[in-house]
Amino acid sequence: MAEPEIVAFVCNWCAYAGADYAGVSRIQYPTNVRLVRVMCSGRVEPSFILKALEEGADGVLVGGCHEADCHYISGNLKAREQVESTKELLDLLGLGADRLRIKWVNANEGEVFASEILDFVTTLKKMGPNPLAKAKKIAAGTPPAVEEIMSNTDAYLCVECGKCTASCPVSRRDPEFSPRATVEQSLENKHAELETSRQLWDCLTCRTCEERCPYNVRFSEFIRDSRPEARALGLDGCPTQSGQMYSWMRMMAADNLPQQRTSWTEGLKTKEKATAKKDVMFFVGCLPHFNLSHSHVGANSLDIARNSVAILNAIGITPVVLPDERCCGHDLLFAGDAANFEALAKKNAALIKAAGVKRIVISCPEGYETLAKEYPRVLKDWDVGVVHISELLAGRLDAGKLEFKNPVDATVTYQDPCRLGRYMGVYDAPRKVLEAIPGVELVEMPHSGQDAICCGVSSWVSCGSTAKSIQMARLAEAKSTGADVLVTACPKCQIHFRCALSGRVPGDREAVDIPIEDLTSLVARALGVLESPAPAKAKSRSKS
Amino acid sequence: MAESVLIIGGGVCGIQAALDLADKGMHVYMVEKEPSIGGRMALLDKVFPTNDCSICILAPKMITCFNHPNVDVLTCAEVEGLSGKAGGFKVKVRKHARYVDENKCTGCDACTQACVLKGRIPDEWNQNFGMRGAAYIPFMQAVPRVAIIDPEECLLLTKGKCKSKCVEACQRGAIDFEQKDETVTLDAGAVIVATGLDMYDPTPVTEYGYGRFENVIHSMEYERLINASGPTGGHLKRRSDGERPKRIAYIQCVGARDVRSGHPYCCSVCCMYATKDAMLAYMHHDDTENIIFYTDLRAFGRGFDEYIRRGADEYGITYVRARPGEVTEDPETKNLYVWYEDTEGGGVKSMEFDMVVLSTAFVPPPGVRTLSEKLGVIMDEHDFFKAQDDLLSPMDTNVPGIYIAGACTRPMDVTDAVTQGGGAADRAAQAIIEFSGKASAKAGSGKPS
Repeated sequence: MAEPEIVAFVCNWCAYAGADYAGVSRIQYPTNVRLVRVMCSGRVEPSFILKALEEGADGVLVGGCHEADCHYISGNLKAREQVESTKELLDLLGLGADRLRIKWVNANEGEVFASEILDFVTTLKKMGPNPLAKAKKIAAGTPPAVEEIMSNTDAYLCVECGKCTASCPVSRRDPEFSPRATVEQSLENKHAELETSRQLWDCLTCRTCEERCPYNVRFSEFIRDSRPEARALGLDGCPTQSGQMYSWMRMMAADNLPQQRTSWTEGLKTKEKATAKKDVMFFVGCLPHFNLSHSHVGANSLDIARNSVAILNAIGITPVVLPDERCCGHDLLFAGDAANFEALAKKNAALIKAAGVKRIVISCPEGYETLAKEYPRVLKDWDVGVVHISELLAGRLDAGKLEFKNPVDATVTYQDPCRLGRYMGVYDAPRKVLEAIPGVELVEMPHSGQDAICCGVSSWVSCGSTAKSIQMARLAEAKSTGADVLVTACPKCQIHFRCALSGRVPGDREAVDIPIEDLTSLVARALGVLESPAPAKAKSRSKS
Repeated sequence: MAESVLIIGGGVCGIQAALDLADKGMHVYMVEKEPSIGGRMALLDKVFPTNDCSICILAPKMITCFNHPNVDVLTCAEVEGLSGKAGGFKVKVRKHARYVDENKCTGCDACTQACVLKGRIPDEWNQNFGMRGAAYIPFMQAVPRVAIIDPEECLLLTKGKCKSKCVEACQRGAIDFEQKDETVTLDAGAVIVATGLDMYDPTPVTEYGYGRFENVIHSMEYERLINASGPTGGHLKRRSDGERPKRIAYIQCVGARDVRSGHPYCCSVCCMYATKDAMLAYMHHDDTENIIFYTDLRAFGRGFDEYIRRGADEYGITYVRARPGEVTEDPETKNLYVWYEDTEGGGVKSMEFDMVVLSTAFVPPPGVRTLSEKLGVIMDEHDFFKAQDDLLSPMDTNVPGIYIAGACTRPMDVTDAVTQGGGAADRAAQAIIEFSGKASAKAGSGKPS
């Protein structure tokens, strides 16, 4: 093979100095490495590592000070934590954890640095080149024309009444954001201004405005379809975690990168291919990935996957779970990367077809919406039925084929996820399931059903003070119902709310602090198959 | 050869048509499904743009119509079928049992006072604000002023067991539980459809909290509350605590100009009636603040624009150009917050109110689609009856001899409904003359010349 290429992120104080020392001491080591100096190894976010690998680097080395030597006290420990979870992510993605290393190198350890590189090169040679370097590049495609967007979304029908803005949770906090003014601006032939504005990325695409718009102007779609143009201009909306999620989502679009995503199914009954006509597939989505990218907020997304399969097993279903499944593409689509979304859609469609599946059960509302509504839009022969797990369970309850035996004593309130509620119109099924659990008392928040307030962030953009304020208001609403638990059916809602509670909270913590749990975990407890312990309060982010 | 005209609907439009025809010497059958004629207008407090007392100007017409020697009014009646053609329609009409003999009852109220269910059934004539019994008179000025017994509530009719105090109380022996529905076939040369309108139920517009927040009411409820013959004797009161509202918001276009509710059309009258409602509140107490949230002010009729200006200048009404996004409630005070975008100045704002009145859409009443099928008359996609030609023959339908008038053709105000009633009467009279003329011409041709 060609010589492997390594990107090394090295800290200013120790590792870089160490590498420099190797140089001035004329210690020979392979020339495959490109050094990127950072002030502290703790600055190296997973997104840096993923970006390097996405661009074709064969390996990434993070170099920092020895423990207790960090010039910023504990930056190196943070780096180690990040690298550990990123290694797991690389395994999931099929790249292999060994493409990433972390090494403590002192300023006088030129030898150590050199031998580390030598060793890394050997390992990488054994692993072979990074498949992504050879992967076919996905062309961005032509963004839709503004006229097309306007007529597709009925924006021309807007009467500028402002009902959208008055309904919008963002506008209520940010006077510069107005869906009405945004549409008006485009109607006045000034769409180009939107493309370069912050407002394009402030929309949550939660559809509250659309739900109320008297003329059915589909503002979320208007925003979604306007974002590719901005992306073509090189703009994005300040993605969370510097876009690490986008990186691994894009990586999954590569053809030659078989995923390794089923290690978590241990102990559960699953299969890789449909063996009977009525076999269903459980579409996992990015749950295992979120579990890693959002471990710092205690996301526990994998519990949702494990509980879902356990529930399916308990009602007599052995679902197909594909080891090579890809991200559904929802977040890329809504973040303006239509090309990679379509690539992922095609990839998934081919995999699902090959597995012989005609019906999918899913626990993630975003995946549900994408598979049920967006795939038919971009795929010609997509004929797979999709159902949310709450609908499946509600159907069984209706038919008298399901009974929850174990009581779960809790007063709960339910957060309607945007995609499940306003996008898919599923409001009753999750409530029916909750109310069927003995001991569960469901109380509603002042805003529920079609009026439910969004969890504050969508598709990993514009997570800032507005988002936090929305989350606090929503959590306060949940808390004011007197419920013990806030139940949601979306892993993202859970991540966002837990994140909001994981740091310092403005005002009285007691007024907003409520445990957050996924619907599947309550059901799993009621069926006596709970795979994970009951939820603890969101863990506080370490002060460091 | 029938020389009668059958009018379906006894609202102000149908009444006008009936009077015009009857005064010309023609015979009219008026079929009204409710126990009283008068329609919507009979329930309003005042009417724009003159602020006349609605029932004061309508009641004389109702009585004249009912007592006219050329008019036969059938209340509690519905058209079941129609056959024949212009000049010779045969109309099957079902007359629902009233359980009170119309010829004997004097409207003395003795039975309604005696009814054991008195004050226990929500009174739909008062928009469920007041209560009535199973024996009741729809409203004070009902024509005919005859009691009716509600077959769905009456204990004797539903359970077969009641002390029947009404029978005891009635000195005229008018109560008749043996009464059955009757079907009659009427001969009519022409038919006028004037079935009027219904109000949109704003419950599905969840963001405004109707049904959830006690002090959010719709405009028809407001009419009854501020009406001197209504359940509160004309005192505007909040449902939550009976207090007088001092700050009232009116939200326009609820369920109208709204494709989601299936009513994309403008109701054409709400800008005016909301202004009237606000004026009334101010007339009752001049410390009342009224704010109207509108989409577009559509004051197109004669004197309308001036009316709105008077509202602003003399009655202190504030007009805000915005469709509010949401109404929220303070659970303690039951006051309401209206959230809206200041579409002129920018930014989302909220205002606190004691009461919110939703100006709801005019919608076709239930059952008109079935009626149209029975008559063979075409409707538009919103269930309004369709004219043969909107410009040049607005009263004619696809069926010769059947004419349409009033709010069953499109949302309209009293003035337009009366105009159309008159217009349809003329078209119907014309049809009778035309078809009678043909008939006599035929007869004449048989004579030796």
